[in-house]
Amino acid sequence: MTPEDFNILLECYGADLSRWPEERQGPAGHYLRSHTDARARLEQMAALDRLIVAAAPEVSDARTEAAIRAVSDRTLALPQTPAWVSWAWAPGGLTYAAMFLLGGAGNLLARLASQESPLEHLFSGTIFSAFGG
Amino acid sequence: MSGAGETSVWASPDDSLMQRVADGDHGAFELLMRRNMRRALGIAHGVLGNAGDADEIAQEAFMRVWQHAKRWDPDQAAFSTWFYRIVLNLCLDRKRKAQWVPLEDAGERPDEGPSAPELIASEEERQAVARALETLSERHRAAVSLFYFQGLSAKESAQAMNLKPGAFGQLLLRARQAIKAELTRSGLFEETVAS
Repeated sequence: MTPEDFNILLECYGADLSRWPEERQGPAGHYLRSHTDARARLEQMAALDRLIVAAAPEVSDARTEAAIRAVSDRTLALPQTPAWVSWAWAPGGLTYAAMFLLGGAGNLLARLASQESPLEHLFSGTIFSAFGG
Repeated sequence: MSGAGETSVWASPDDSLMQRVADGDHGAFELLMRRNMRRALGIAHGVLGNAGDADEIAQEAFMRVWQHAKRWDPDQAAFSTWFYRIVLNLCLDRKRKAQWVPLEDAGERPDEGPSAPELIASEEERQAVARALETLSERHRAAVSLFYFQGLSAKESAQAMNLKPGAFGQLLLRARQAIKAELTRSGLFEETVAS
């Protein structure tokens, strides 16, 4: 490991070598034992580590508990979904497309049954009357 | 659905619980929340910089776990990886809609104990780190939040961010250099080293 490699990894992952990528830990330990100046650099970065970690957001027990209760209440309030519904909605777009086509076919059948041409309304006079046709 | 003998095949207790959640077991879901809510809050708070938004994000993330549990595929990712991705994606969505709120402007910190004179120095340091994070993108803050604040390994953090280890290392390096520069500019880093 070169000094450049050591310094970059130190700058990146901090002074705790056990948190470095596994394949780098062995060479880094060896480098550290053979370079006294690297030890001083490591201690300097350990100080920076402590400052960063100290800035971590604190999360209290009360806050955690409140969040758990809120989610639990919300999930329990959700309507129970029958298994077949979740199955039917699982394929997503395919289901929507099938429902759309079924709806269209149903509409067509209904109009045929009532003797009305499915396309008749598109060509009726009322649609042109607004434009003076 | 799983018996005691079956749970051992899962990589972690969370994976085992998640399988039960997918079957609609609300008790397992509560247990899963108890094991992971604190970390979800911490990650979101680290990325977003304020407690209120973080609370909403963590809760929304668990709502999605409950509603979409069947989408989790244990062959694709551990529950933790899948879940952290949900949290991070929600954070990124939130950041697109709202600006970063600096720590000092984020209102009262809900978790602080009583303030004391000896805490002033550490609060200065905390705010200096917050200022440095403020200058970074949410992806850099996510890297710091996962690796330094939450103590995840580099590999776990990279997986959670859906990055290759090298790309994650670059993010972390840039973030840490920014924090170091801000602390040095504030005279806090050298003081700490000297003491």
